[in-house]
Amino acid sequence: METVEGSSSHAEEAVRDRLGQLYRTHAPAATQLAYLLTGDRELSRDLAQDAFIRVAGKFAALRAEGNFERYLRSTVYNLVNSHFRRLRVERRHLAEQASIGGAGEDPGPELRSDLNATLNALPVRQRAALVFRYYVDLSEQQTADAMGCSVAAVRSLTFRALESLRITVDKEATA
Amino acid sequence: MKDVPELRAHLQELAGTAPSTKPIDARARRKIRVRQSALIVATALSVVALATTGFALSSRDVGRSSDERGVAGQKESAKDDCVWKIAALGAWSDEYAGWGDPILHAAEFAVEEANEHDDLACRVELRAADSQGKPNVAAALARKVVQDEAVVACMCPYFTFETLAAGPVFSSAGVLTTATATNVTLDEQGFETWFGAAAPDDFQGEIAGELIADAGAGNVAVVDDGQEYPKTLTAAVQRVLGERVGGTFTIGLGQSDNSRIVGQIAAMEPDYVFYGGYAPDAGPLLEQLRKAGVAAPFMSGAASYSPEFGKFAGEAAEGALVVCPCADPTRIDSAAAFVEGMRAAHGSDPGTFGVEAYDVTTLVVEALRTYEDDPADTSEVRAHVVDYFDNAQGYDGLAKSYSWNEDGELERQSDAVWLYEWDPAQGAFVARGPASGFLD
Repeated sequence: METVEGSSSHAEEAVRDRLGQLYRTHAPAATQLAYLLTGDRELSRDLAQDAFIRVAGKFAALRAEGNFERYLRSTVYNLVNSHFRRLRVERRHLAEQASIGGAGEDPGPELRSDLNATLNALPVRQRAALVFRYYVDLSEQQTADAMGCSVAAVRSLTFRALESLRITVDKEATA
Repeated sequence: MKDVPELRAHLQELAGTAPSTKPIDARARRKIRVRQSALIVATALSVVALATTGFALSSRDVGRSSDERGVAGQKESAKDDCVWKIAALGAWSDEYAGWGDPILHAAEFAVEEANEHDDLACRVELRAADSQGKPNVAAALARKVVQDEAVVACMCPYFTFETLAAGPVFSSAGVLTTATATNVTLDEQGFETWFGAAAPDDFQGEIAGELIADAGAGNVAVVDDGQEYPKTLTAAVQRVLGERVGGTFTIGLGQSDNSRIVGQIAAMEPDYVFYGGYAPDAGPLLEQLRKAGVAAPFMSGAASYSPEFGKFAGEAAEGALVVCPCADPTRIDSAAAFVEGMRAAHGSDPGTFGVEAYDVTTLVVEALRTYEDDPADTSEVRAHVVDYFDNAQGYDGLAKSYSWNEDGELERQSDAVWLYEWDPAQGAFVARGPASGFLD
């Protein structure tokens, strides 16, 4: 009985290590990405771990590690998107309640952020396009995959984002 | 910023100020395991479903992150034929009706309420399965239940021995089970998806001990019947009371004459008596103690909280106290709608553990309400429900506030145990309120 217990706990230990290793390898980049997309320190830590839990949960055997990074990236993006969508719904709901109650002010929670103000003023999809293209260094196709949209959409999001930041597009940007 | 290189540099700089990575703790690891097991079952199911009926579950690529596109559309169109089931597995047959009915009825009530609100992506159904009070039947039914891909959670065995038998099945399928079983070892089983809805037995005993100590007793007689459950209670009572315990006794199970033990207790002249066993033994013991001239207050545990107690104790029942990890919803203002609804549906007040069953079923419904991904992706729904319970720290139910530790055990709060007193005029135990109201 002791040997059985010993070997099973050994196997479990190996899985734990594997998971911990995977986490140490990928979680910091996921946290940075979430931070660049939200500008919120606590939120980005939570979202990154949540994304890791989801992706690791779907990699039953934790094998195809090459794809892990890719799936994690796009899960972070999806979670960020859901977060902002939920926030919009909540705000609308609160605004409706406030208007029923007659209060005029917007009671929506202020978005906490210490990101650069201009960058932060961009809609989340535009911001994501910039971060994927110019920080993570993905191609237009890879960015489209991560965001679940077409290459044309990535081009247009990037273009509009650069335009509102008044950034001149030189050769480097189109390379 | 003027150009792209400057933007790159700026992003690099910002990334450099990103917060540290959140440590991966036991809770996060557990969530991963739950998701992994839910996925394995769902994948196996989709293969079976394809082969037998041609019906395809959403067989999405493993690892493809949740696809936001089209989900809203699916929510609309799928509503008519999309069903999520909350399983109710327990001893529902007649001989257990006194225990089972209140729980089953309350779960039904919560499910009906969910469908009336009509704000979930799918309709909710209760799938009741009768374990007949047999552990092997409970385990077999559990296997059937988790193979039903529409089942997203289980309001499950309320008997500890059934929970022990069925728990591994639900745990490995990633299906949440929540129930009122209270055995102290349940949290030690490593069930990844079990969440207790009632305070564990040893905590019940601790509360009893504190109540007795607060009453000023200094020479307490502690009695059990040698069985596991009563001994759990009496051990906790002794732990709390320490030197205030004047003597410990064990009576024979099912014996009508305990005169030898009763004589010993009377000789001790106790100022309080605690009995850890069941009503059919507690009643006669109390009656014989009174006859032997012991007038000290008498307290017992949830196993004596029976409408039959008066039958077993006769006139001696008056004033007998019991502690129970069950609330009386008729004494809770916010539960008025629940009580009225149950009266309308069944013609009587909600029974023991009814309000607790309603609370946890409602929490399952709330979890389903916040689910945003593909409703047909059952493994994701199951994982979401478990996540939701994990994060529901301080959920305010009607009976009490619910928080769970990492092993799924209910946090030990003194409002989770109630004090009841036998009232001969009503022929019933009458709630005196949550123990928190009597403790310093």
